[in-house]
Amino acid sequence: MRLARLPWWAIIIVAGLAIVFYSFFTSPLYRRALIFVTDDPRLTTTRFANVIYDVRTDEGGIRRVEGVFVGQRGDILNVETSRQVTIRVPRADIAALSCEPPASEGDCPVDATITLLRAQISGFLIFEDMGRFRIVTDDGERQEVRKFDVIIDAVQRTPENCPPSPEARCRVVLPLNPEREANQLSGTVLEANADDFLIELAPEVIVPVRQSDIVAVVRYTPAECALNNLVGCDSGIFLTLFVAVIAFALAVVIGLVAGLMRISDNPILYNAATVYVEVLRGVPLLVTLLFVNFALYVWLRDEFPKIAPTLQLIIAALALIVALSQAWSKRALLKSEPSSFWQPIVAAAIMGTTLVAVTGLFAANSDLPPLSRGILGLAICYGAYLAELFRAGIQSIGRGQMEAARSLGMSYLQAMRYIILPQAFRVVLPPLGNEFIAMLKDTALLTVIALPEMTQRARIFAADTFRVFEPYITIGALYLCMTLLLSVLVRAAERRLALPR
Amino acid sequence: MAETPIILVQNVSKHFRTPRGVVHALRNVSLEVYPREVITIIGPSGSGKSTLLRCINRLETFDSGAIIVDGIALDTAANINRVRAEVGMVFQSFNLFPNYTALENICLAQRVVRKRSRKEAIEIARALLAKVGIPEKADAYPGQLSGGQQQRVAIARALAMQPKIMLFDEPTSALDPEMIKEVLDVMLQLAAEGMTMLVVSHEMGFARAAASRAIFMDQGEIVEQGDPQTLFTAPQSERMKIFLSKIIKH
Repeated sequence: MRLARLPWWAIIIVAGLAIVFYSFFTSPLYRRALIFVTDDPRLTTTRFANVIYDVRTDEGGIRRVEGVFVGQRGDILNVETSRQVTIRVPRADIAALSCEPPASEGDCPVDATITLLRAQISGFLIFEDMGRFRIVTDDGERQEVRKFDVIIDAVQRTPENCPPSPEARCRVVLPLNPEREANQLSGTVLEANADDFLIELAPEVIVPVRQSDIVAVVRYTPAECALNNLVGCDSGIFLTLFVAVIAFALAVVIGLVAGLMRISDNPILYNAATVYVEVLRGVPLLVTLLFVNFALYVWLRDEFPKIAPTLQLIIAALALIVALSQAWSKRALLKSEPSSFWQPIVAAAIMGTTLVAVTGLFAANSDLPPLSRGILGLAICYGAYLAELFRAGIQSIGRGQMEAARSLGMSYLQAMRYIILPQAFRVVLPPLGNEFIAMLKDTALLTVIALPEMTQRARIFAADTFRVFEPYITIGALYLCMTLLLSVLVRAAERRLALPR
Repeated sequence: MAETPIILVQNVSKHFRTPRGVVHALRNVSLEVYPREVITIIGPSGSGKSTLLRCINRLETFDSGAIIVDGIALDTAANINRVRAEVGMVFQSFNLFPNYTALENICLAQRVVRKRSRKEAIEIARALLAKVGIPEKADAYPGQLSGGQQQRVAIARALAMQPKIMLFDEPTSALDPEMIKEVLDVMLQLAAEGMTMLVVSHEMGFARAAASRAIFMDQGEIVEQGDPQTLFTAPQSERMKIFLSKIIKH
């Protein structure tokens, strides 16, 4: 795809995206927005999961171990119950220090315990409100300093009286009140350089737990997002993609079933499917999501388990009626076309059983987590659109194809497998791809149910930092990249599938 | 002829309900077709000629009467499949499978229904393509072929099942005039080889050259039948006279 052959509007879009991506590299705020909306993926991590284990002790009791699962060696799981806290203090900021074991004046070697009084903190002021300053120190650490601990009158700002600036335009030196306890630090020296000390304020505590001693796993939720811990990538862009894929798969299943019901001769099936399709296509997706999340969910959680057994009976009875009515209407075909007789009955039986099972499943797990609610809402709305898509695809294959196959002696199933379905698949695939792209964009609506997907993360970022351009442009660019890439893929698939003319 | 008929149509009737009332597609039609006969069926549209043809290989059902093909009655599923294996059909709109090449079109039913090996099926397919005159188009998709070529591939596809009877449902009606001859030539060749053929067509030239019998149908019943030469030049019934006067112009 040579650049010269791209249409002019594509060049504009690509140029716009290039500008946005350039700012990811140059502007710290854009970078922070990007990190925030993509769940900050790392290359590797050791923080795999947040865990709570009930572990058998040697004395025969049970203790609870809570922390972060950081690794496993053979039978032993390592749980970090306390995270290491370190701070880098420039020597220039230190008013007084003492060392244990004692060392020469103004010095403290590695591994010694140091107690120091901090005279000041300097850095770039990025935020300020009534109670605190938020600064970025020279080695990139964000620190919150309470105004309570600072000698306010002696604060120096460069340039004079500059306001807080996330672009690091306001350098500030905050003199610290020596009487405040927060300004006395004590810890182990990790590094002692000419310019600063790296002090460990709290060490990490790793508790080894023998796997065979674990009585109960009270909690196990993924922690940091990284390439070697992809389960931990559960918000931001990863959640958007996850929701889109799962909801689409579910919608395809629902759409296939509903589409086939829309083609059937049986009036019960046809009308039920028509009601579903018309209602879900006629109501905005946002309204459907709100309904599913706030109304349906509450009803499902509270009332549904009570009526579920009755509902299962009704569904079973309906399936029986459908099967019997199909059998009665096709009885003349039993001898000459037995597959036409049995297939609808088998289909009704399978659908009835599936619906009964699904009802039971919902009754047993009626308290749906927000993620499931979001996926369900998207799936049932898109299922209606996909139903019409599948129906049109199947009906677009002319009768003549089936007739030609049957007159050659092929059975109905053989004709379906070799002739009808391959052609229907070709027809349906490009619009299906477009629907997936549409669903990817519609996952943004899940902010209304506070699901931490990309748009919600952008809104949180905007509320947190009071910046609006950076987060929204970032997610706009990300959505655009995803949809453009998918469009190219869909078009390529279309060209691949097209038969030579 | 003293042989037994290969197709026996006995008092077959078919009707269906439309919003306008009941339509009788076939009214008590009876017909005997002997082996190696080439029969042309003509008549105005809606006369039931296509319906009759499609009843013979059970693409259409009928409400009363019986059809017996090669001694097999069209009642159970097993029998219908046996009959369909003996009867090949060629359609007006070709109905080639667009997602397979010409060669694959011809091989598919052989492998799936007759369970022939791939090698054997391809051999037979290539021979048939050569027979219908387009061996070079074996790897072309139907979308790349002209109408006449598609119809010839369709004929080869039906012949690959080695049927005893070939049914043609207006095979040349959807073709441009310059392509009609190539398809008719193939059909003439088939007739000369002794295939039993039932052809629904308006091609009088073909009827005169190859047909051993011509049948005129109107409004669901067989009005006249007989030798094509005499039938076309000296029709007995009024209805046939009117029909012939309308079509024999070009």
